[in-house]
Amino acid sequence: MPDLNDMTDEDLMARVKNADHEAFSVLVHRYTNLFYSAAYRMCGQQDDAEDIVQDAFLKLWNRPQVWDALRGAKFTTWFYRVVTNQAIDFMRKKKPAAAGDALDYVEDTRDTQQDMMEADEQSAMIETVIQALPERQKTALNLCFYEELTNKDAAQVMGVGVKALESLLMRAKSGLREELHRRGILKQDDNGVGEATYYG
Amino acid sequence: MDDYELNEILKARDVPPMRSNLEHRIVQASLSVSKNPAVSKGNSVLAIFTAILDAVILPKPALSMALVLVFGVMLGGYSSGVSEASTNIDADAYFLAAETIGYGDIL
Repeated sequence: MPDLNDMTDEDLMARVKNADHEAFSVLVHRYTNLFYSAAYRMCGQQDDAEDIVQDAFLKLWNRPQVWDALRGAKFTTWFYRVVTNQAIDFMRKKKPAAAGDALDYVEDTRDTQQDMMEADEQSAMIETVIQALPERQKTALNLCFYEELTNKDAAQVMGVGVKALESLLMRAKSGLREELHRRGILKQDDNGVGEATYYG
Repeated sequence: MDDYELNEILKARDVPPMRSNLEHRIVQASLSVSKNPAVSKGNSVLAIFTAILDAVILPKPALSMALVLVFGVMLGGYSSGVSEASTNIDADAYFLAAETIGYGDIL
């Protein structure tokens, strides 16, 4: 019998379609950490990210027939889409207002900026700013920047064209740059061009 | 500003490690909570049988109670109808016999 750990994702999925629980288990061990990170970057909460990944894998187990290898997508690309949709559904149910506009609800912490010298606080602030991005911009940023998907794969995950993805990315970075500048994390040099300020 | 500074800041974003038992939790949940219906989906006869079995399989307390209740009422109604019918038959036979006897006496 072949070692399941040596099998490709696509071969494992073929087995999962035949209710092979061992194959499912191998996929879970292979990808839980990767997709947990992706889910966390989408929702910003550890518990929520874990629930999202668990639900996504259970969907995979319950309905493996939705995976169609003949369509040509890699398993990971397809599963990014499952996790991303799961995360979006989760966040909409949890915080309907969060689906609204850009950075409207980000807390203004300019008064306390002098105290925020710790690296973990800066990290928390970055998290807040990113979480406040519109949903699609945040998804595009997460997939391309953090998950390091190609633009083509990220576009496939999001169900948009590559041009649309690039536009989302550009707007996400522009919004982030503006907000980070407003919060003093990015300074502007003499030419009016921002530069990074690092704490810790 | 080019993207370099922004990228450097974005790289500072942390992801807290997941709980060590998450993988185990997922595998256990897939075993206990659900079953993979993929095989039955491919076979229509088996799929129908599974669907019927899913509909009547225990435990479904509310459904079971409702079924028992409906069965009980139907059985009660049926028994009542049978006993009434048999009583009527007995009465008919009695009156027929009585009439026969009566007419016999008259004749």
